[in-house]
Amino acid sequence: MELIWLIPLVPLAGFLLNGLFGKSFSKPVINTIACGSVALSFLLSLNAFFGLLRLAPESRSFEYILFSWIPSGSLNADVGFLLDPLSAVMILVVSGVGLLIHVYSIGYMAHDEDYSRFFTYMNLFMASMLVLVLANNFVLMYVGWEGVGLCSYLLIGFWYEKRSATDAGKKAFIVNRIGDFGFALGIMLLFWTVGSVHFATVFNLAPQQLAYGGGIITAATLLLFLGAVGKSAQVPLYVWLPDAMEGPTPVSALIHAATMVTAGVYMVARCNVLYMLAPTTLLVVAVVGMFTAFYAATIGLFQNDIKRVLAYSTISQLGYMFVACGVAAFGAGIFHLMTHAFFKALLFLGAGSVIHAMSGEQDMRRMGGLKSKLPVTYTTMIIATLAISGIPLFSGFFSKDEILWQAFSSRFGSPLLWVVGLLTAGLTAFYMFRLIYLTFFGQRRYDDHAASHVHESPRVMTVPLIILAVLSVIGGYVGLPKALLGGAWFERFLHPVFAKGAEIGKLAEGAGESHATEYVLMLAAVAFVVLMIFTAKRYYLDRAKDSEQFEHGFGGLYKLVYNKYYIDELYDRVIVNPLVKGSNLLWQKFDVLIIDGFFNGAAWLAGQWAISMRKLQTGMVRSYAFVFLGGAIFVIGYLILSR
Amino acid sequence: MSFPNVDFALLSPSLIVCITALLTMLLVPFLGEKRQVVVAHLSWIGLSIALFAVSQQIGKNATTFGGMFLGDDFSQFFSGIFIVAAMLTIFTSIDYLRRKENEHGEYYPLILFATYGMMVMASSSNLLVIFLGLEIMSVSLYVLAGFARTELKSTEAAIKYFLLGAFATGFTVFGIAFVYGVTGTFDVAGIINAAFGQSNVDTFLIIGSALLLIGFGFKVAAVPFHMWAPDAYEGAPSPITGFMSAGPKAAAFAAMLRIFSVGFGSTVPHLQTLFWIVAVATMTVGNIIALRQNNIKRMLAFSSIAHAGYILIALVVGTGEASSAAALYLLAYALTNLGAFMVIALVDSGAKHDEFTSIDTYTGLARKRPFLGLALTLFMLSLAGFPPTAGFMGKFVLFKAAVSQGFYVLIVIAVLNSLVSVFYYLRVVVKMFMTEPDGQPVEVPAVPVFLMVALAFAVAAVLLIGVYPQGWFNFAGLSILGAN
Repeated sequence: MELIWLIPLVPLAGFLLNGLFGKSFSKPVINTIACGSVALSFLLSLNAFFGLLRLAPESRSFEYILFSWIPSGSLNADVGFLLDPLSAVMILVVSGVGLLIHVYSIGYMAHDEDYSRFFTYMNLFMASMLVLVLANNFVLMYVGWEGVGLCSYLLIGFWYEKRSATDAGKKAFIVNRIGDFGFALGIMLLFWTVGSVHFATVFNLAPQQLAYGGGIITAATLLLFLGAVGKSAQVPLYVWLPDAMEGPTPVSALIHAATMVTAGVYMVARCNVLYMLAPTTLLVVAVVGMFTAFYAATIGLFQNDIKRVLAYSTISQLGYMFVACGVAAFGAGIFHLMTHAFFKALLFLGAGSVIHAMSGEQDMRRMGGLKSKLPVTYTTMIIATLAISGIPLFSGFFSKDEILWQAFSSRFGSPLLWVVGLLTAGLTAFYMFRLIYLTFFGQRRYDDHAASHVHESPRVMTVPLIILAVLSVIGGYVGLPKALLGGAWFERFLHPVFAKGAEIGKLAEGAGESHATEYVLMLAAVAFVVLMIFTAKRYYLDRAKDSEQFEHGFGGLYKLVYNKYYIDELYDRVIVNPLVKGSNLLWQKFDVLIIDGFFNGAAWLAGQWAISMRKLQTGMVRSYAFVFLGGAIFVIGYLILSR
Repeated sequence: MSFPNVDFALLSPSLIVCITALLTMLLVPFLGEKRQVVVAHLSWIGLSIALFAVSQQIGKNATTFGGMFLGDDFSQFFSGIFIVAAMLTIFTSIDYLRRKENEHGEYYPLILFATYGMMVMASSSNLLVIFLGLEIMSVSLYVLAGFARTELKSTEAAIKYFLLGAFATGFTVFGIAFVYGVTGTFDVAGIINAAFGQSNVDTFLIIGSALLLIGFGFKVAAVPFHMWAPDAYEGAPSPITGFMSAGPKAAAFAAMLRIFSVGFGSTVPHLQTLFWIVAVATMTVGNIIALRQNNIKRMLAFSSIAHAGYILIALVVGTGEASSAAALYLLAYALTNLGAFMVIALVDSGAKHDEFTSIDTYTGLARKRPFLGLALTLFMLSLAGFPPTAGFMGKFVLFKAAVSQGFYVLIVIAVLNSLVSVFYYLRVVVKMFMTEPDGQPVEVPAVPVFLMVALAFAVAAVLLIGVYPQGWFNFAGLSILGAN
């Protein structure tokens, strides 16, 4: 466990090597460095995880201070890492899924000219993400937070010749700035009131120093949550994520589905003590999460771009995780985070495999009937779809069901949350099966030219798909709930991290409620999901010809949803355009005339001064000595006369 | 006559440097013209042994020669800077001299003698011993500045440096004499004892301290005693320019910190105000004139003046925290500047004469040689004080030490000055990265092995101090406690 500092460092070394010398390396060398470093991180993470398991549950928290980083008065930030059950799960998910996606990228990016640049950014991302989840204080976490933001920007705009890609990169960066601003303010507010940025210290002192439900803790947690809203693409800051699909598909899988976007959930879970102190914020988190989950699912219903469907699905699933956090079921949130990482990464990689086979086509209306052409992709994607839809025995069922149950039964939950969650689950099943039917079933809708290229992806891409498919099935069993004769091992493992928060929230552990209600709710959810799957089957497989008619049958509602509620247009009208106009005005009037004038004037003055001073520097020793003597007289005279 | 009780272990670092210098000097005539480089290798080997010896003396804080030689951590810290500076200079010089067809073995013993002088300067609080070290260092530097005998500029640099140096030495000697006349001792602690508590400070003590300030002000190139620096820096062989800005500057400041921050600061009235004026004048004049320089060595000469201005802040503040901040600053500045001059020397050595020192030479350099470009960019950023470089940390701790004592105006001026300086440092970067060369770009030689090692070391050190200042700062902090 003493080696945890190496976990982010190894990918960083890979980043440096490939970044500095990648241009002269051959592809196998680049692959070895990029994937090898992530693999090493994964092995170290496993080692740390098992090291943690050997300890007694209550002592499973280990800090390793690499060095003191900012020792400045009362602000003390170390480059220090914290290994506890929560961060152990995170590093395993990040490095494990990251490794699979790195391997997959070898195949996916094989024909790209900027091969080394891609893996350089990917490794930098891994390093930043691992710093984010391993940091033992807010400031270092912020470093990772900004680092992943930077990599996200770089990778979205990876194909920088494409205008839409660079625009999307900028959009992601700017929208995230809003969230990051809140996050930074939150950290400062905490530092200002609690006097530390160190997690353990803050979580120890906050319950003593800040009033339960008081203004300060509510403001601080809301500000932190604003950061999470930006990074994890929640309403109203979700608009960047769909556009982020401009990046290469492995990037979408790694950054915009499995890891980075879940950073917000991780942060809220990490700060569970603070959130439990602020019930108002919890309510906000739950409502924002639920609203986002439902809202994004409705947009996902009728999108035709395969990656966009998955993007909205990601936003929706992140909403679920926040619902879990909002009802104080942090363990359930992290559980869903993990299973979602498996099946959503798989869905994206599968979509990538499809796009790869279709020579870059992303519109599902021009696919169809690919089932027999891409057997491995098809099978694995079916598994992931069953998982995300919440079909029993697949991982997503357990984690989603846990969230729904908690939303219903928690002290902070409400039946209303459950109802919306149920509706969302149904919508999810519908749009996911719509995706499957449009892509893999029915008649082929692409031309002969494309048909001649259709091929199953190489082994290097399909093997990660298969591994992820296995994980999507079995990943849920670590958290088998008691109602299903499981031991809820996952939540017991995480429990030490959330124990203090639970104490504050007066959450009774293992409430003695009968399982009857739980069974009924579970059954209702499964029944509804199956119903929605059959609806999708009916309109997109059995009566595929009528599917357009079916969609348009919804009239205005269809148009509204299809156009994503016109939110992008609204933002453009209300925020972007006035901002651009206002800044243009400021630029032309205020900046050019006054600011530039001032600085150009100052620069001109300094230049003039320099010219005149330079004249003193004649090159004559005599004049040098003369100036020297003048100075000497001044020094002696000053000291004597001023005594 | 009995042999005095001398702690040779304590003396070992400086003795090793001195003996290496003597032996290599004697060896030079016996080596053929083709084998002069042997001297270089012997020199850096001797220096690395001396560096090891320094590491062995850390924490001892002993004295010898009846208290005239101090082996405290302050002197070990600075000895470390001097030795590393000398080694990096030698690594830079090997190929430089060969390309300039100026391979004379005496060059290396001279560097060693200068290093020895600096170590003596930093290892005593006795004015006479400090003066001895100062002169050993200065005479070696006069020769080194003019080492490119056939170059007019180099000869000019040596003569100017020597003439004005002799002039300044007069002030120093008179200063020591006056102080001795009043207090009857050369030892800083003794001087304070004699003068402290007197209701009326003796006029000659004031004059003496003023003269000392002038003498050392010359060595650190403080305004208005700085006029020699641009000419000497520009004319001297490029590796020597780097060496002069790193080692001797640190040595002079080490002596000043010992004499003024611990000694006169508390006894002579208004000395602090005077330092305030000199510091502000030095940083401002250095930065403003640097804006308009077209020769990179000359620009860095003015930059070096400006940096002396920042370091003088430590003498204004006069606390132990400020002194250790200054020590860290000097370390950071030495490594950064040595690194910058490695690149400059390499570019310079592309031509037999010195036509490759103008900033225009660097146009488009980074496109052809990205690593050199990145390295020089890092050093320029460090000089400008950007995080996460050593230069930033140096400025940060120094300015913080001043702010904690309430010197707000001074720090505002210093920060404004740093802002101005960004312009001329980044000008080089812009030239390297964003400007297309007009005609044929300058041919820069391949990086030889020793320079590669030195450059890698400098880059690593600048970054390391930038991200991990704590260990260095602790060491610098310890060293000052020893001095008090």
